Amino acid sequence: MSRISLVGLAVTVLESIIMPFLLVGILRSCRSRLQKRRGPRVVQPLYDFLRLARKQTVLSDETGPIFKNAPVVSLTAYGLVALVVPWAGLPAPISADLILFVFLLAAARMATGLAAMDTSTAFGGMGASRESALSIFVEPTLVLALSAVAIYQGSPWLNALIATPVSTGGSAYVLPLAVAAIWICAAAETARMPIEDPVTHLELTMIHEAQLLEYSGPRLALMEYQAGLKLTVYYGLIAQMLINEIVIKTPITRWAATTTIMFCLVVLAAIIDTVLVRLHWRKLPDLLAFGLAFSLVACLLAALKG
Amino acid sequence: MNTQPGVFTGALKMDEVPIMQLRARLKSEIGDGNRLGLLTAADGADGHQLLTLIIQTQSGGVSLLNSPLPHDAVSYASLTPDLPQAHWFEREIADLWGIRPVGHPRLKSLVMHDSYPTDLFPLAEHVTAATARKRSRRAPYRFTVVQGNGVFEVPVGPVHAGIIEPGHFRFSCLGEVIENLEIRLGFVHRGLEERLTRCDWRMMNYLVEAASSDTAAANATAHAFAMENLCSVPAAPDVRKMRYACIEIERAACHIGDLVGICTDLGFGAGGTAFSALRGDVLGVAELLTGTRFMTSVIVPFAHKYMPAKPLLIEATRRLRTCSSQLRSILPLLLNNGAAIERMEGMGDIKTSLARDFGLVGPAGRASGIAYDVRKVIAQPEYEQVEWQPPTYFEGDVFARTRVRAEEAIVAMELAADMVSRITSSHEPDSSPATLPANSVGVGIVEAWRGELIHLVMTDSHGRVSRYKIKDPSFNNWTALSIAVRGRLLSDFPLCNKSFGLSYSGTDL
Repeated sequence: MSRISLVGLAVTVLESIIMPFLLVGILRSCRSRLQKRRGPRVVQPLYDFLRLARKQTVLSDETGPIFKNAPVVSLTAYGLVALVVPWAGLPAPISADLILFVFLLAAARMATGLAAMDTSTAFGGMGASRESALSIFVEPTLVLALSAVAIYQGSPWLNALIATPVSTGGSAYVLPLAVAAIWICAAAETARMPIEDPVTHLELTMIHEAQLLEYSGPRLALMEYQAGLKLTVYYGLIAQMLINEIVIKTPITRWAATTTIMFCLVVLAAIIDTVLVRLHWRKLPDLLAFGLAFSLVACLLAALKG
Repeated sequence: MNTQPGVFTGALKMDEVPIMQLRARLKSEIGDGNRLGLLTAADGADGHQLLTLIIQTQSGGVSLLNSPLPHDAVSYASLTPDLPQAHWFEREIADLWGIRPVGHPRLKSLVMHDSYPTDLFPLAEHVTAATARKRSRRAPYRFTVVQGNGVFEVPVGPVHAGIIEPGHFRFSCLGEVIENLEIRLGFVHRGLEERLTRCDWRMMNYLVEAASSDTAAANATAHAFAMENLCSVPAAPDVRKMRYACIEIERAACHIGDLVGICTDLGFGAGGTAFSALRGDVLGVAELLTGTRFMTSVIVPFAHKYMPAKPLLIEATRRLRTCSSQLRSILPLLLNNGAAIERMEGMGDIKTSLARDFGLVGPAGRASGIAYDVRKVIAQPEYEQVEWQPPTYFEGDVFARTRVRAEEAIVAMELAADMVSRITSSHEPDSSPATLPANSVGVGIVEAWRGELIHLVMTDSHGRVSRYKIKDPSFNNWTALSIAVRGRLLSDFPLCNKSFGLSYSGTDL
């Protein structure tokens, strides 16, 4: 293993531990400030994690092994996601193609959904059903958007994102369209407005969070960390696609640019969370269809170039 | 015999209507456009009697009918088949008195849960053993079961995720669609009406404020009017202005508070913040005028505990006008917001005919085309100084209810500012009588922020309070909520619920 990839591995692992807490902390802090509240400290998510990790677990009598083990299964899946996607601005330690990425996300979603159904509560089943319904729209969008990028680069490997040439003409729109599509996927996957209200306490309106209602203690800590990691990977991935337009050559500047863009995206997410109204459940397919349309057009433009 | 509770002249007399004729009489009264104010029971000379309060919407008077049950009788022919608005009243009577309405379409317990002894009827303790034996035990509670392939139930509550009151919602769903919602209340039944008959009448105002603490000012005012009506001692004009100002401030603060709730349920953080800050300002005016943000302990019968000095009144008027114009300027955030309107329009609609059948009151009624407003129907000179109209819409959806409440909040602040600015004296003498008159009855009706609030007080032959009845506006409106969400999605329920904004403790008592 070369020196660069060792450093890459170290940075990726370190960042996938720190960044989820930091990004969620910044997001919450920004959202509070935008609503004229002082809000929690930026490091609060980390303190919450440590607090939950120390707590006792309360298990319902109705739950079985699926519920108990799902956090570890989905953590493994997200951990692998963090290792195969070059989200930190450096080549990913494990080289993989886009299908593996989408597959790992699906595996984690399945583990969470099954665990929610394992609780045999009405809310858990409701959350699992809603999350699955959303994934019907999210998965093809993600596959198509990433495919568009792959066609554009001439390589299905995710690490190819690190060295993308700038092009002119119609294919210059491929990456922006793919970014828009992935942003919509990210909103659906990370429980952001206008798809899901991340601060609601109303179980009846929850999607992702309804699946986690029965978790407590260390398992809840793991689940919340994973949600942060998923957000981090998505925003890092979007950052890579934006940087391609600017062309930054050295690894250091690329890493710095990635991190800066991730922070900017988090602030943008906080603004969107504050000013938008949550869409009606029946209108969600309309929004997600936009993502699908963007990714289809991106594919078309990328294919035309070749 | 009619009297005007708003003006409070003369003692209220009861009309005796035989129980067999009550149904026909009520049918013709309701047919004439009058309202069934409340229906309850009380001890009579020989066994139980039913009490019915009718509000004459044309003349602005009220009539109180008493219908004695035959000796030792514990059942009567139910009124609900002809008068749907009686259905919860009759359930409550069955719960608290053990008097069975025969032929009630959905008779089940309302506030007495299965954990109470099935032969306990808390208000009917003074009756003979013979009557007690005849009373049938309360049946265990059964939720309505919706049958069909794929129908499942989602139980929500009584303990909720937010800091709100307890109530149980049983949704029968087909996928995301709500087929039926059954609301189970009674978790905060405290026996308030019974407690009020065992308490010194001078201390009652503290208890009635707790009937529904977000409606403290309106409950205290209705109580004060009921006691003054009982004693035929009218309140001084400045005292009345002060009370009405408190009710209007309470109305503005609560409506703005529910606008915050609607924004939160829409996930609209920016709107929530804006309204929430304004609610604080309005409660600040309440504190300025009464010394407490929720206006407790100042509104008492026959007096007002604390009449603010002139400079405070001027400052309060100024602040109320500022709040009113601030609300006007931030309302477009919610009411001109396309995405918010899309969520609210056509959501949870209640048709005018349904609202009339179930006797909806307050903003929920006015959003469905029922213009009934106690402030307009019952003559109250303080409200006639300014030109104003209660906002009325016909759509009956969440958007209509939201607009009614927003517009009412603005009107309320202007009315309050007007009343406060016309208060002249800073001291009103206490006109309390030494004792209460014997065998009398008094009624106080006010338009609380949720709608028509009625207090009824009766004394026995010793001048002691023998029966106290509170009819919270929520009592009329809960059924509408369960009807409004039928056929809607589960995730729409919180928004519909918030647009009604009902009280649990006021219903449970």
